[in-house]
Amino acid sequence: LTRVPRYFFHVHDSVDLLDEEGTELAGPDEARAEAVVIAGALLRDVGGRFWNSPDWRLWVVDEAGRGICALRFSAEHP
Amino acid sequence: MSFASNADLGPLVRKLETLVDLSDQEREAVLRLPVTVRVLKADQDIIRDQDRPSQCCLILTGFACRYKTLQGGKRQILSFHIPGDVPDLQSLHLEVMDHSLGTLTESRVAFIPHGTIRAFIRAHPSIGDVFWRDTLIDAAVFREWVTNVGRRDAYGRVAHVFCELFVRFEAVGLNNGDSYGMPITQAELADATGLSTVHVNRTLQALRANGLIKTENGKVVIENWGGLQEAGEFDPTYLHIRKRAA
Repeated sequence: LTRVPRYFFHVHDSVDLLDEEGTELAGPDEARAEAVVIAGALLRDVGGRFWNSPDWRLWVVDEAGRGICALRFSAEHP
Repeated sequence: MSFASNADLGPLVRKLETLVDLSDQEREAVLRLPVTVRVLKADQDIIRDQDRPSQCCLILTGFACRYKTLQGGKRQILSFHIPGDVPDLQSLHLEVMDHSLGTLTESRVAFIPHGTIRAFIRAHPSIGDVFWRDTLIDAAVFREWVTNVGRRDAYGRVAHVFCELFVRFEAVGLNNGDSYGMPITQAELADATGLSTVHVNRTLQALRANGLIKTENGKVVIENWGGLQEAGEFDPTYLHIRKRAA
């Protein structure tokens, strides 16, 4: 019986909000795919408030704390 | 574990009395319904999609949900069920289950054969009207959930679910003041609201930080009822609860 790895999806917008629960996923590829889905859903809810702290980012680590990926949005307006 | 018994069907009486006034005779008749009681562990199916049940189930204690499973194992929780609910009443008229029903926590469940319910409705036609009313309210809850999952943001969705459950627990007298037992995981709440666990986690943090709720040991404590209703755009009209348990 192999243990399903757990990944933690941390988000920084106006403040750092750390994921203490984690999510079980098959592996790093799945975690990277899920990161995009989660970022999309979170950003949808952020809407216009995004511009209050446009350095929004999401990063994923595994149980050992190794970085799996980071998503950043390059945002600008004139 | 399964046994026939004179189980206390008080939860069903309390549920029905949120819908109509029962006569003493009707109340007695409900309490005398012959049932078979089973104790189910958490996360066990009571009945599955495509099954052809010959009985309905009544939740006596615990917490259950109706759900659908998608390809790839994703799950949508369609509704939550608390003591007094008969979540598969539709099986009395629709032969094949079009979704599954399972426990979320250890639950005591009473099974009532369809034939028993039919005879009961014939003997007490007004109870048939109550079941019809309950079925219509069931549909109203689904309309509310479609709106919730389809259009509200995560904050509103989760707030709405907490509001609905508080009103339903209170109606059957199972709240404890401003709190109620909801020992489910964030993943289960995510399945009910169409969100990721991460999103639910952040939303709960926001609801707590804004002083609307506290969550502790499987309990939800309402800290600011007006604020929570506002966050979830919650109007209890769709639950059509006539009166509250004494």
